[in-house]
Amino acid sequence: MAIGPDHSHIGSHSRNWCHYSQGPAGFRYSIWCLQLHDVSSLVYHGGSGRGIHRGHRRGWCQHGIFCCGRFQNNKEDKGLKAIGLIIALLTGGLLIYATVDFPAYGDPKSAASTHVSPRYIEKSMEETDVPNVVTSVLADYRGYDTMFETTVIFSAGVVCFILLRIFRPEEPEERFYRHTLTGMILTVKETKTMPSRLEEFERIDTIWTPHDLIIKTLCRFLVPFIQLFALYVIAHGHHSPGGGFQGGVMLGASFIVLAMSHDLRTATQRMGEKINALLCASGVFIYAGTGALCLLLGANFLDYKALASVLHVDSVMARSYGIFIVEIGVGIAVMATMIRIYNNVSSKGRYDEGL
Amino acid sequence: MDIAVTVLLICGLIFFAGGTLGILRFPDFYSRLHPAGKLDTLGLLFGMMAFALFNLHHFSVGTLLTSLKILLIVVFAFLASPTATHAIVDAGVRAGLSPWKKGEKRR
Repeated sequence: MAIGPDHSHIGSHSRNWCHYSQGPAGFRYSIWCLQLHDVSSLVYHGGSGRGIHRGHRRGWCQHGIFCCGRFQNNKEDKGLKAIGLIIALLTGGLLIYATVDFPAYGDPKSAASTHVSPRYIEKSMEETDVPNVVTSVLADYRGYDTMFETTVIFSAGVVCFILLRIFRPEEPEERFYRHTLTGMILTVKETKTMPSRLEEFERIDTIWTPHDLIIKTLCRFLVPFIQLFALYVIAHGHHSPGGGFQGGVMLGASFIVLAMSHDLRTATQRMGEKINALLCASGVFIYAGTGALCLLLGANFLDYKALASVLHVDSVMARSYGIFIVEIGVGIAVMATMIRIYNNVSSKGRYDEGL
Repeated sequence: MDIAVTVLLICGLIFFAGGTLGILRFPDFYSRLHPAGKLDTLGLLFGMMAFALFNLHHFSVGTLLTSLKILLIVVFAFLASPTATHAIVDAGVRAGLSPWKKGEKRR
């Protein structure tokens, strides 16, 4: 990863390709960047998640809270936990060690205050036609950084999938069906062939089964507004606070609201696992693909100016549109990852019954 | 107009203060949700009305649109807040928490 310190890369309008300053300080800084962007989140997910998912799959106690199975670790799990702890401590120590290299907080003589920030603030509008400096810095001047943040989110979703997903579904001992007209609840126990589809009956979860008309109706009513607002936030990131990450989180939340107010099956009917995976990857692909397209058109990676000939606009507007395309990619990736993490965690990887 | 804005803001603040006091003073989970759900919603209505009115100082289509957006917040909060309270109470009942009765200790 080639993200360097701010105070070393202001030369000649090249945005993303930063050069490490020489010497041990630069090395510490580069470690800090590397750890912060790639490793820390993965270690967190991988290290802490491993021990949980051995043991019982179905451990719901009478209050509907997942409780048992988690603390019955065998020796292997303890070893893994120890390794995870050591890695986490080492990472934390390295991060703290690297902060020594930072300029003091609010230091007026630091590079960021003397020439980096003023340049961004003064030139952003004329170079990218984006009034919101945060967006232009995030997606254009330091677009490489944001691309790997998107990748980290993508890998968090993938790690969640790898750790939790169970592909051989153990059939539950019993299933509950509600007769939609009378509200009577039918229990089907220990049959080899469960009825997959019954007219007039709807399947309900065994643990958490409120039939709440108020919540269901209201959530169905609110979801389109949430999604509309999310699209607005993504599209309006040029002019106001917002952008791909925030809008993507809202889009994901709209699906999670649907899953919580109805059940997981309702939500996965609307966005299946495969479509979710496709969206998750295509979001990152849109971002990286935009950068690669710039390469093909003869400019630097993620140098949106090169898109001018494709989009038939001048180079300033090309950068503006480039930011927009990239934000769309970020939004798609974040949305799909949110939904994926929720689905896996809430149903313990079974995609069957969840909160 | 300034007077109207001030009066509305003070009304809203009174409701918010009452809600906070209720959350601190009421004896148990369910009764605490009562001020949390009701008074915050009403306080929000007054506060947002004050903002919308204040925004109309220089009347134009733009400011009118902004005021309408502010009032839209009230609409969604009015829908979402009571439903959320309802869901929380429902969860409490399902988890088996019995309501507080007179003479019992505060929880």
